[in-house]
Amino acid sequence: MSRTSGTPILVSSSNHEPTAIALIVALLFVQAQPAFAYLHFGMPVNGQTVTLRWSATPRYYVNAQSAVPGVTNADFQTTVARAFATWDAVPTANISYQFAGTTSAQPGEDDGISVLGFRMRPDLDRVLASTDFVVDDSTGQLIESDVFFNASFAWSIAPNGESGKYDLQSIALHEIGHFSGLGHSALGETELHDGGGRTVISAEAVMFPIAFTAGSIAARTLKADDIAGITDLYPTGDAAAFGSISGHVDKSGTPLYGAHVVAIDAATGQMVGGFTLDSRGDFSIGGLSPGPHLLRIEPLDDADIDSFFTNTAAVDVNFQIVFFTRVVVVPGGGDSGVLTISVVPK
Amino acid sequence: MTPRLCAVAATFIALTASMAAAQSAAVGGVEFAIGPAWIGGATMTSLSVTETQASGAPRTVLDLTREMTSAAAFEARVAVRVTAHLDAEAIGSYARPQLSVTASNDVEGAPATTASEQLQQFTVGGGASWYLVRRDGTTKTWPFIAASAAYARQLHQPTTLADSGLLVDAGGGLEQSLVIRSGRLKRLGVRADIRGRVRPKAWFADGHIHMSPMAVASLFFRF
Repeated sequence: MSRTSGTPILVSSSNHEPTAIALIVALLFVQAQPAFAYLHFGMPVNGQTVTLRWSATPRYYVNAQSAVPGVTNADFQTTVARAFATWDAVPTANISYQFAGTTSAQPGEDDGISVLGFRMRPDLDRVLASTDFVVDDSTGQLIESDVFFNASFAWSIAPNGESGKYDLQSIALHEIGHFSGLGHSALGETELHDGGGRTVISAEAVMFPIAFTAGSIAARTLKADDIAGITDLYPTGDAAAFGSISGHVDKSGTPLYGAHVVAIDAATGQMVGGFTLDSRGDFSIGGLSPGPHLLRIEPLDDADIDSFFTNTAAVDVNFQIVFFTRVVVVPGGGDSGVLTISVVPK
Repeated sequence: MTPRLCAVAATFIALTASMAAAQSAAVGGVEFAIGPAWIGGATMTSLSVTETQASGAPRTVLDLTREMTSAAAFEARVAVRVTAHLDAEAIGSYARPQLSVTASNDVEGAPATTASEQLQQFTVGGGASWYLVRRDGTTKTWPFIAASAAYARQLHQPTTLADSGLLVDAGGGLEQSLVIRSGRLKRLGVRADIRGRVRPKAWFADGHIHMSPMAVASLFFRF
């Protein structure tokens, strides 16, 4: 077994706040999995990259001392259950979760049970919450997944949110995405401050690595990117209901690593993102609705690269945003066929 | 028109053929026509691609304009005389329109781009032409109005995704006989149609009815 590092969701910074994103270096992916959209967690097993996923219904416990000002133990349990139910309700994904009870165990302990709870971590002054895993080295299957919420921030469970407090349901929804095996999505726009740190202008994925400002409840609803991700990871039997787009991206003939490739459904405008994840510049975006799509290729510049990749030095962000000049049709139950997309330096 | 309705229309044509032939010594009872066509394009409503702001309000990150381009087509038609004014028809066509999607107003300044895709569109359907003059052995020019409905099947590239739907055409035109004979081939001439093509449910689910102009010029043989 091995425990992987945490997957934090970061706070948006405001102009007067110093950045501490550099503290959050213990990221997420043992190795990015090239076969899927956005990012799934992956790890090498017998020379192959295996996507981390649950092989059976995950059971979760709630820490019995999970109360912070404004959130009782019962509130925490109810709110977390609501977030689990949101993922559970995705009709195209075959995953459900089981509440196993309360426990005195803390999240982050290698005890064989998955625990969610608050912990006071003022040292992580930009981390709202984080998820880590225990993984079976031989199969890549998830054994344990713990989620901690940082009690050093102000939290709210108010139906309409509370100014200055982070919405527990929104953050729990993001962390349960990690709990299920999803990595971060890059579908969002941020404003970078002079002293570092970012504020989210807009995002179109619950799995975007930086949270909306305190008081927002906008991330209580899963977006197309989240739904595609969980569908791709835990597909139902109806394979024809979804398809994929794959290809590779090069810059002046050289394969491009770390490009953000966004598939835009031409009928609905919904976006699902993926990345070029290997030295060949290959990408594959699964869980897409059949039909015509437009592809937009952009550098990964709206969040810190280490929110997505461990090998940050290899990620190339020096290229111009382009749209692929072909409408790409996603066939039901199949793949678009390999596309070759070229970008040019800035 | 569903395949079932097409079958019904074909049966109707067969049943009326012998009757019509008996009535139309100088006019002919059965007409075959083939010819090129032009189908006008249809622009769908534009679509804003949005992201969600902290307030929950959408923020447009780019706009999409979607269009089915105009295209050349080929059409074949078989008509059977029902009365002196009315023909029942079966119609099939093939066209290769382009689907184009233009992205513009990108919030990060990406240049506006039009991406396109070649489609193959097959239709089969049935309809009727009502001739505004009584067709007899002496008249050469037959103005008409016509309406038809067709089942359309559309293949995308690569041809792994197909969608289908109903198309309705309505319009009118003129049939001009160039040769009138007393043999088996009664008439040979040209026919020109101007129609409006209605897509009650567009290929894109933009929730709007789309109408395109359409023109057909065909050579007809009437037996």
